[in-house]
Amino acid sequence: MNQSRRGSWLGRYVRGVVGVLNMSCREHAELLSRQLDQRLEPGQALGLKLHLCVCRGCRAFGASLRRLRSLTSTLRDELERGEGMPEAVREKISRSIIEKQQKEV
Amino acid sequence: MASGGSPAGAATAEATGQRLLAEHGDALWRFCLARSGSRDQAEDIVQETLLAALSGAHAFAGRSSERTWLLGIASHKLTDALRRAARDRAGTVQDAVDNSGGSSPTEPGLPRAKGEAGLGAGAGLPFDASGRWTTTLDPGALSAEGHADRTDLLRRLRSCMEELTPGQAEVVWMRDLLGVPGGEVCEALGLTPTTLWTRLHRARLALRLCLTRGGIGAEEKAGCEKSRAGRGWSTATEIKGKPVRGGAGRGKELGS
Repeated sequence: MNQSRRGSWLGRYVRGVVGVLNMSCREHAELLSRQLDQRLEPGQALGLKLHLCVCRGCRAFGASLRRLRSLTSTLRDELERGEGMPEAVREKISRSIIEKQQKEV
Repeated sequence: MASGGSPAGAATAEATGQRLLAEHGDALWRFCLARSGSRDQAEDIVQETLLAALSGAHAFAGRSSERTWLLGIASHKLTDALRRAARDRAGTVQDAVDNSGGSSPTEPGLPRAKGEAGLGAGAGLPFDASGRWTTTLDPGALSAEGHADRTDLLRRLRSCMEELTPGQAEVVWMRDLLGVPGGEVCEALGLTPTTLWTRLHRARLALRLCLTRGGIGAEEKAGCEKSRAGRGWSTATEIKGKPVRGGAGRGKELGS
């Protein structure tokens, strides 16, 4: 039972590696992008690493994706530190909520 | 969160509206102001978002946080407003590309952008028909040595984000700038995971292209190919101007 489970895991792992190795650079680029958001299957991750060893284009793309992520993180920090809603705007929206509910009744 | 038309329901809805404004007003304001660049439009969108949330038009299913739900409504309204503005300006059709879930607009059966302005999906896909890189890639692209370079890159990134299609922009804003988890982005924007990842990928390709276009570090020729005939791998360093040899990718669709 354990042996068959190990066998199926190994089979999936090997299929993952081979599947990724057979992909085009366009698909590797998609995996690199997805890797920023999701953990890849172990076989896919190894296949991608092997591909990066031999592909300068995908390596360069992966590096620029990581730099792009760093830049967007900085923008995110700026956004979080940005000014809050001005009091006048808050009061206006608050009044519009009251008026809307009065109309509903 | 609809009031239901009764005085008691209206009072409850009003209290809910005031609570949503108090708890999420600042976050909604920052998001709408940053994305629209206009205080008037930000005010309108925040107001419309809260009223839409109370009207029950966008039911809160509880599968994401309340803030993500509100940001999703605001994002839809901003996207609609930006699409209307883009159509008014240039008469372009951007929805076809935004709504496709495929990996390339060059693939058969997928809608193509028609007269799309700015950084459309097609503009961000530097691959040939067999899925190989067609453009030169600089390993040092987007790296900034000093503070001034980084400030310049950030300024250009803000500008490049405005060139994305509205559909690409909304996923980049939700996922990369607001840091909302992928599953919640799908829930808030009504997207399948495949569509989300595809849009994010295209948006990142387009942003990368925009940032490196005539910018920091000229791209050098760097390619990649596999020798399928020999069932082996080979690195290929191309000489500028010479065609890339051999190696065909399969161009198959990625699952989610």
